Amino acid sequence: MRAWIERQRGLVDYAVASLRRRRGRNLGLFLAYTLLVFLLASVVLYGDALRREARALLADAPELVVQRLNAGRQDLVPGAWLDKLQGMRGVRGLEGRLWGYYYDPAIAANLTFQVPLEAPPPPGQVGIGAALARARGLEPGDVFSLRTYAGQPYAFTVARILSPASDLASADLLLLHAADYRAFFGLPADVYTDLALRVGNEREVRKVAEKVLERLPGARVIARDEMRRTYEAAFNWRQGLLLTLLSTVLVAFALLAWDKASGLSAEERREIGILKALGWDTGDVLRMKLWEGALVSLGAFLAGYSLAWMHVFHADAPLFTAVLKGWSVLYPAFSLRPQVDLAQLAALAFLSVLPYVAATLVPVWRAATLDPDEVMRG
Amino acid sequence: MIELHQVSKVFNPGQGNEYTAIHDVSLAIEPGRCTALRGPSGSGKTTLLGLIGGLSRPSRGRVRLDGRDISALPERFLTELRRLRFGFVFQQFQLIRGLSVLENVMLPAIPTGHPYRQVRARALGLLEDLGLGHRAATETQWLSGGEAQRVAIARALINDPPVILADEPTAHLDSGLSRQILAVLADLGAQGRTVILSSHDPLVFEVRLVERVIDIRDGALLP
Repeated sequence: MRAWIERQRGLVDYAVASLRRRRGRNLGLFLAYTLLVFLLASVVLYGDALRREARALLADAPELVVQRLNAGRQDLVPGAWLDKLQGMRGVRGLEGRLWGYYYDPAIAANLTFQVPLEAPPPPGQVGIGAALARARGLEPGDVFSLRTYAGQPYAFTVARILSPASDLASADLLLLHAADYRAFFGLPADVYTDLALRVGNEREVRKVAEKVLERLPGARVIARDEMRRTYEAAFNWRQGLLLTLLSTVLVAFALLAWDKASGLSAEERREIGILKALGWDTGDVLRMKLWEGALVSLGAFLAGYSLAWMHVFHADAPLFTAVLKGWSVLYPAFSLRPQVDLAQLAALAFLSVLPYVAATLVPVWRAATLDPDEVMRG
Repeated sequence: MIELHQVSKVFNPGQGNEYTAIHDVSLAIEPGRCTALRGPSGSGKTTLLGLIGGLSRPSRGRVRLDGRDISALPERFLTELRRLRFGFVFQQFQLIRGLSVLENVMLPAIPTGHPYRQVRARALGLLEDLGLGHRAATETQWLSGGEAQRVAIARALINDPPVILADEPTAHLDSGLSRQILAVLADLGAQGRTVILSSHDPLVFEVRLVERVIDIRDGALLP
């Protein structure tokens, strides 16, 4: 075992010296490689973190949401629907929700108005998202007004700025009292945007949804799982779009790597001949080259992955914000929670390290199986 | 004892440029002596040295080392033989550029798996013995011809092989440096090693190093 370790140490030493001797070529390759891994890993890490964030948000969402459709479009839900669903078996909670969108021309952005089910602000006061506060320069205690759908100004007092921790969902959010919501949008007292149903047993969700449709034939029932899948599909689509664009970079790099790694110069062939003549067998030469390839590719992989990690989790991924977060005007300023997915790490390493190492080995194997007496003859 | 029995070596067999470098050579080389292959350029000396040292296989015939046929050995065993039983000093030195003198000397020891510190100490000792201790950290492309040849000899000795094969050891050296190198080879002979060298340099045959001369021309031994 000790001899094996010493042998590997010698091979690594030689591989490092070999990299050092051709430092210009190897440094260029290392940088291109690092950049590629950085881009790929950034997209994958960012997409995954967003999906995790969305799942975490949906964890608190109701199991079922009931909407009313009118000619295929969502319409307001009459308060009588609440009565029709009262006392349904398996339903742990039932509430009417009020939420909607408002275009604020002052900051040219869409805001999300929402009446929280628990602890809503007192009438006349609002809680606003951090991005909205930034865009309008608002502090707690400030008064600002928005123009209602009837064209009248409506004043709100900022009660609090929502925690940046929830910024992914709350960046453009405005939380208000139900009375303010109805007055602002001119809604009667007995309508809701939709209904939220809490189902005690996860396995009964489908059954409860069927029963809701029986009682409310014009309703659309959306399960939390469907929402999760929609979010994931959106992020997958965006991530796929970026990965497709990056695939051109990948191909360009593959060509570069193949060219640099697979072509053996006359000097390298001569070196391999000398090593064989001195008693290195084909396996030793291959192992040395394997170390050389592994040092370049693994080093570049670790450097690229670390840079991607910092880019995504410490710098909020400025390169991909527009594509992966969405097309919102008010970008959330939030930090994603770092988490290592070992399978994903292994897949990235497999895709980036293995092809390079393979590209280096084939020509070396060819050269290393030649007779070493060519060296003897100069 | 190294024995060659009706050995021939044909390059590019069956092709338009087929060339027979060694014709039906049989000879025995005694251990612990210095034997020289003498002949003009292109006579087949280098090819014969390569066959003796297991760098290539004969097209016909057999090469035996201490009674064991090495011409049919699988590549792995032949490599091990080259590593442990033979030390090579090539005509063009064949040092690896960009590596230091010390790194070059240690190269043949890497596959043995001997502890790094031991190998390094032994390499430094050999360089000291050959008057190159102060050049250990120098990259080999900055060496003079005489220094490069001594580094090649140190490298040949790193695994302490019983047989040294030197191909035209004085080919690129002036008379003074040639005498130095021949003195080093003579020392190796005095240590009981088998030294086999090829040369057409008269100086090699003037000094008392060579105990036996084998003349070769056109790939065949002269009587």
